[in-house]
Amino acid sequence: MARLEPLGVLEAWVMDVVWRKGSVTARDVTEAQRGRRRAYTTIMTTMDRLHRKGLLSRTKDGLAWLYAAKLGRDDFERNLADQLASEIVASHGEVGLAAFVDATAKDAELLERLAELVEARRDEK
Amino acid sequence: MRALQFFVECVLIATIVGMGVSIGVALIERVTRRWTDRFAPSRRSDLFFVAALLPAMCAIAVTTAAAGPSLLALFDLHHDHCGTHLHHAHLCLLHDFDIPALRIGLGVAALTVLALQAIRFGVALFAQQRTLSALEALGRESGDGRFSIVRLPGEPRLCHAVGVHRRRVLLSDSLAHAISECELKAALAHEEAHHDRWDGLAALLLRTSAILSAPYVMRSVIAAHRVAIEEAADSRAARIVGSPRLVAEAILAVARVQVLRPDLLQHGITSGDIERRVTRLLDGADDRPSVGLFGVASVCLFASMFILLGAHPIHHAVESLLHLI
Repeated sequence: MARLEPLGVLEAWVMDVVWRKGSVTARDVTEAQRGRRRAYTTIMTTMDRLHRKGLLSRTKDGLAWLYAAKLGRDDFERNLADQLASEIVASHGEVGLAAFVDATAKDAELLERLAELVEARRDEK
Repeated sequence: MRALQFFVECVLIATIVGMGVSIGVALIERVTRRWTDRFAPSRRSDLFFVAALLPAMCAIAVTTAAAGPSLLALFDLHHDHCGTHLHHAHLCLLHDFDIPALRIGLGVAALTVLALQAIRFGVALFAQQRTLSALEALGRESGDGRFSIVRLPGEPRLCHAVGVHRRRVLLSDSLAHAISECELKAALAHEEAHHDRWDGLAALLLRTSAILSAPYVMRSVIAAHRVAIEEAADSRAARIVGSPRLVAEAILAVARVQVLRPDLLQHGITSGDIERRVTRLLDGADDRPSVGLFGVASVCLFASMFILLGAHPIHHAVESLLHLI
């Protein structure tokens, strides 16, 4: 899976339409607008960008492209959350986030030893 | 042109002072580590906070003292003393002097280093804020406690105190479900303790002030400060939940579920002195009250004013040193 980027306002709205309707053309998305209307070309460009980001797949339907989401809404949000949370963990200490615990692979044995120590103290009391 | 030269000279002075003091502070921290380890966590965090701020404070105070007379003379608030200084290097905004190319070259190099450090810090801060915003948009906020808790989806198990203005705790649902309710309460008490102590603000100030330090030199001092604030937050959490052992168990429980996530280990996360924190809690070592962030900030302010009161000797000392370049 390619690296997921957080969505911009228009991208999020377009993805919302695609998730609700399934397979859509840029014309379908343009016509689904209410209130402030974006130009057809703007929607087309946005959908092309989402395709290049790997979020939409597309097949030719006559002269138009038919777009569909590669991931469902839940899968997208879960994968994005995983990725963003990993970035937060990786950047911890860089600009002053305070994590409850940091750990490394070599800590596995240490954790067991400390757990035994905690148990021993519990038994003492 | 003269203003630019003056600015470059000021940057050179700030950089030399900042880097010199930072190297001195880092050496002293290394030599006195065993001694400072005996301090209670809150006092140790105050000490390392001042130590880490010292290079930037000295750089700003000395540069202000050195540049002050010329700047004041510009607005007729100080007599023009250039006539008495012509025998050696003179930091002046008012008159044209021939400044050695070496000094200008060093000043430009210093400016480049400072700019790169500032850009690196700014980019990291911006990227982190952007990531936090995007992540929080996927979560849901609850405001049961004194600080709001943002519950997050996703597998990486976060329990982070974030924010300086809007202080909150990021908590992954996956972590909340992986540990017991008591352990979760202890973990949240620890994060709230960070907010009570304004540790986020302190960390941000230290990272900002590190721009005026020698690159990478202050990392050991900042790391020592981080360990101290974690221990201080542990002690405060132990008082809140009424059991140091429970906090120790929570640390181990959270560490255990993180270790079981191999993808996180690729990020090179540090061990974070878990052993030290747990044994300290089990030994029942208590914290002692300290002056805290705002007390320390007041002391720093007075120290800066004291330095500026002695501005004339510092001004002349800096010019004598500039004369050597």
